Amino acid sequence: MWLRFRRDRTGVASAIVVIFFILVAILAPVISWLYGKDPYTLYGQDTPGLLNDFGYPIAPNGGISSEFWFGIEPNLGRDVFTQLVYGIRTSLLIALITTILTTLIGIVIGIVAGYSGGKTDYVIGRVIDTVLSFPSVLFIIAFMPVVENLFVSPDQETPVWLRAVTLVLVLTLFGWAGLARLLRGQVLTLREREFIEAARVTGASPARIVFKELLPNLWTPILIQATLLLPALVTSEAALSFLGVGMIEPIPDWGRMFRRGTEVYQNDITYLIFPGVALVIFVIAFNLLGDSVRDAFDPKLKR
Amino acid sequence: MFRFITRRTLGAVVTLLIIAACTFFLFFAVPADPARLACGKVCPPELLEQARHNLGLDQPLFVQFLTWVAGIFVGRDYEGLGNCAAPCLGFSFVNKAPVLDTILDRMPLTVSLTIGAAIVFLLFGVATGIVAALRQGKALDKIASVSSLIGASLQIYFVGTLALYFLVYHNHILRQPSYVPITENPLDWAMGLMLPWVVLAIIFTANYTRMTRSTMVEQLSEDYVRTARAKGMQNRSVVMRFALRGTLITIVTILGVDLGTLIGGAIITEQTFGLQGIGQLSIRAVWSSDLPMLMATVMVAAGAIVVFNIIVDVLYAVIDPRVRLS
Amino acid sequence: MTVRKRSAVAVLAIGVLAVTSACAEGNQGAPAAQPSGSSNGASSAPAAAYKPAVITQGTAEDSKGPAIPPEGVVKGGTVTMIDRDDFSHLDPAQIYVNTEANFARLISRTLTGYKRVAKGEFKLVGDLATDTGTQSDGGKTWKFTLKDGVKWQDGTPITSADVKWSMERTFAPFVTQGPTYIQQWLTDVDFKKAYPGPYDGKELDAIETPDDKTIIYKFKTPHADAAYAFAMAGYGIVPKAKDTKEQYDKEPVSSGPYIIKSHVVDKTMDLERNPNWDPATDPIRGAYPDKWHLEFGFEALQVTDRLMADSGADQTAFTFYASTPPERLQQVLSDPNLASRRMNSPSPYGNYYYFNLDRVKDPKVRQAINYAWPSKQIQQVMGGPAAAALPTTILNENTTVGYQSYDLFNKETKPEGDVEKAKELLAQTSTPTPTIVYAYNQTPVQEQVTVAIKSALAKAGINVVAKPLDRKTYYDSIGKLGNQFDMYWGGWGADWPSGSTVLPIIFGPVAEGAPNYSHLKDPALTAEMDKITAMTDIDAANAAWMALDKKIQETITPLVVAENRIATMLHGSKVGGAEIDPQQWIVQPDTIFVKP
Repeated sequence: MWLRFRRDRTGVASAIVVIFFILVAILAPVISWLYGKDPYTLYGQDTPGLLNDFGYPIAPNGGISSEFWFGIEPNLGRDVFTQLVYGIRTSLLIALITTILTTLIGIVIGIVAGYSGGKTDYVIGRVIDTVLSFPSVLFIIAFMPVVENLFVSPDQETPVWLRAVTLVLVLTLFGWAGLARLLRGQVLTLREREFIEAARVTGASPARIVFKELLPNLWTPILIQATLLLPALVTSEAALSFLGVGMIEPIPDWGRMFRRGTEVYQNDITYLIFPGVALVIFVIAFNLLGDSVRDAFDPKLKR
Repeated sequence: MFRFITRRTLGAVVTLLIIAACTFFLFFAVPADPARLACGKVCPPELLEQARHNLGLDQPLFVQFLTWVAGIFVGRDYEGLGNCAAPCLGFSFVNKAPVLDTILDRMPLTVSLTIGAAIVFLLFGVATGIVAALRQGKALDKIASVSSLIGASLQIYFVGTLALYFLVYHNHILRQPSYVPITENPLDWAMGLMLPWVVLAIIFTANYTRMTRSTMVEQLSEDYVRTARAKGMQNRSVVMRFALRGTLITIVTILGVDLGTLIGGAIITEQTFGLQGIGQLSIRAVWSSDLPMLMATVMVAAGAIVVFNIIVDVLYAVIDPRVRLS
Repeated sequence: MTVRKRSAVAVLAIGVLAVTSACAEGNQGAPAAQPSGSSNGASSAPAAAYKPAVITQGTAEDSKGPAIPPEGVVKGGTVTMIDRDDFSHLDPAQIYVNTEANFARLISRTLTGYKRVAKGEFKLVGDLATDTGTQSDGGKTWKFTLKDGVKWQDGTPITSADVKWSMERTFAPFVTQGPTYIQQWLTDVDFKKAYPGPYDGKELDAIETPDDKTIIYKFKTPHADAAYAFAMAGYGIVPKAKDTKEQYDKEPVSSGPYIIKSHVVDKTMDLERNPNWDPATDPIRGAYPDKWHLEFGFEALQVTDRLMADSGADQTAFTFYASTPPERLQQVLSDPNLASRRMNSPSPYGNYYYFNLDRVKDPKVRQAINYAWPSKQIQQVMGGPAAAALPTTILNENTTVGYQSYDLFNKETKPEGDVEKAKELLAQTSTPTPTIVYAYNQTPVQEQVTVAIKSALAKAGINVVAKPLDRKTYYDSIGKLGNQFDMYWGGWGADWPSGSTVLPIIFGPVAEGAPNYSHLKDPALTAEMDKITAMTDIDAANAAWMALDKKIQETITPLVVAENRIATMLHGSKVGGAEIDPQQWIVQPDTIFVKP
């Protein structure tokens, strides 16, 4: 399997890009130290001559210079390069935790529904249907404050970590159903197979059947789904920030950069380009990796 | 067939009721008092009580929900505010009008946006998918695969804004997106929505190309297709009569999901292009704490998803007689 | 297919995307109104583009119609108004918001009103009344005489009984939105308890109508500025015979120059002339267009784009309220072709960063924060000097008769914050590095402003803990007496041009949800405000308010004066007479006309 993956050059290339992104996220403080700037200082406000009276970068291309590699943010005048670098951290962290949670819940519910069958399966099936019918984006925007109010009263501080936790929670709430439905289907077919029958006849406990017999056969779809889920969650988080319910200042965040970018694009298109291109590369790399993982696991599949 | 549709419809009604209940009960955790909003700046306690009574907020939660559901069938009368004829989805205290009126007013835009985009991405996606499948491994296939890969990774707010910058703002190739009813001027209608259609199509086409290609490849290697070929049937007819028919099922499935989502309010698309459709309406309802409006837009969106799911199921049966209505 | 090529093409495609944008221009441009490149003259430069409103009191002669026509006026035609929101209220008694008050001028009249004499110059004159009223009994009794020939849209004359009825009905329980000053003066602070409204037959004895033309108001306490209060749109008149209570909000009867012909809520409204309105009785309203077409549902950005494009029917369009959003400001202000269609005016509101005096007890700390405040950086976030002015006084220059500026905290020389001075002051306190809990309304702009504040105050050794508050409950949260915040933003708009509708309110009773957000309780100050309120000489009172403004900031420092937004608005090329009313911060309809 590993050999098959290694032969797939796209897979290797996209894996390198993905690892690069992860390294950048981990090493963000080091990069920032080497580069000599941080994502929080308001360079444009502290140094005259960088922003004009309207708050836009004076230098062409969004203020790109040897000093500011990717330019400076309009109005506040922060450094775009470090914002992007630190932004990967935010996006990846939220997406990663959500992916793990979503996958875990999806696995548990999918297996329970598929394995137990009958009434349990029917009820879970209905719940999955309902969750999938929810207009999730709208719902998340409307109930972000509600979820936060469960933890803090409206006149108290909303800590940054809480916003991240809330984002993870709501994204998980609407994310698990798809995977659960898929796994339920898989389990349903596996259940009828001879080796499960055999295990049952020999008196294996349900726990043994699930962990020793079912799960090993489910790893492939789970891994594929998880690799595809991560980029989808990164874009979902960015979309929520774009709609104004994402991470709060001053935590660097790609989605918020988009939001600002779409506001100022007529005067400073460069500020939109950097997060935009970075996100596209990131998502393409991850999707390609997902494809390659699938190919590596399942060589029968025709490309 | 009739029994099948009835059963699916009943199931859908149950799903919608559950969604309605979830939404409704969650509202009361929202930190905003509808009566307080309806009452205004100077609001002595007696008046607040009165407003609460008029809006039916002094009833137990469960009764309020039943009243809301009943309103859909028999209408409701809001004392001192106005009448809301059946089907009454609620009464907005921000607009001081039945929410359905406002929703129906915004619906044509969202429907136009969806249908127009669907036509573009469906034609493009299926056509490129078929071509790619028939020319497996050739240049055309590669181009189609690559562009679909990129297209699927693009975001509306990114591509849309870039398109606005280059096509509208800088070069004036297309018009600033706007909505003119088709009944008023069909040309302006199409021109005004052209940009959102194209951008939506760029993003959605990818999926259709991919799915069409892979299903088509599968279909072409099916026994019945090979048999037809062996019997000397023309390539063109084989593709059109057999392979395409099998592919349609996949297409219909994803189309159903996409249409359901889009009709329910293309929030990000409308936000990016500044169009006043259902999506914007719902966002506005969130920011202004207009709970009845929000409730109604959630229901319209959920309704669209559910209805299209039924349509997909029915179409399944029509396209492929092998799918038994079980 | 060979996978290697696939990824190569993908990379290439992204490259093309990136390259096409690699030639974005720089943003050298500065607004035409000021020299470019000035970095510290930022706060003073745009001030040259407008001057504060001048408001004086007019005579009986001034109160005679018709209105003074603007230059080049043409009668007739249809004018279009585009805006975001429809008016939530048409019943005068429910009108308080400036957009609604502005529209009310077209269909409803008041006892007094503001007559435009020249650009930025206004006179308070009699509208329905022959003059601005006569006071006696030391300002407790106010008498007005109605003009001859003032009629309702059906031709029946407007009588003193109608005017009395209009005031009485504002006591009714269903009226919840309009102003409350006169009601309180006539009865009691809790006026709704004192009198239940006229609908069950009870009259209000404090208003007398000796004949059809005369109306006398008897207040409990003297109010020298009552003539201004009567000019509020909320005191517009309603016909006794045609009053439909709650329903009146949907079907108002016109006393002004126009009648509502059709109204589709949230979408359109059409007005046509009221044949029974006589311009000879009206010194305020020009009413030049024959018809008005109003369109609602357009965001400020769309309105700006339509007016910038100025194509077809939009040439005769303008907007009451939609000002240029920050993202279009650079284009709108730098385009010389738009110069003749551009208007700007700073807001008439007071905007403050209040200190919570229950928590920030040391006045030296409050002064230090005032010195260190990054006014210029905040201005930059909001879009630069063209988008926000940096006032230094509590009272707003546009809505204060007899305005005098002062600069206590070196705002004019160091708008970016005087860090040294702040450190010096903090060193004298017990907390040289204080922590300030700053609560803000969680909107995108306020988030950025907070970043700027936090970064700047840190330089003076002040640690800012930022607490985002949900925007729906923001005012409820900061209005709580026991709130756990040290500073927060709040605004207040004067109801007429005098300190008496600002200072006694923002430093009024400390109560849950009351606008005294700084929780300032100072008996000496209250006594002084009562003294000024009771003054019968209105000029002396205005001077006293201005002096008190400075004294409060000097001795108590309960707030940091916030930046004041400047609205930049456009109108179509065929619209004449469009001006922003500096008091209402809105394009007023009285001088609008359509060029052929």
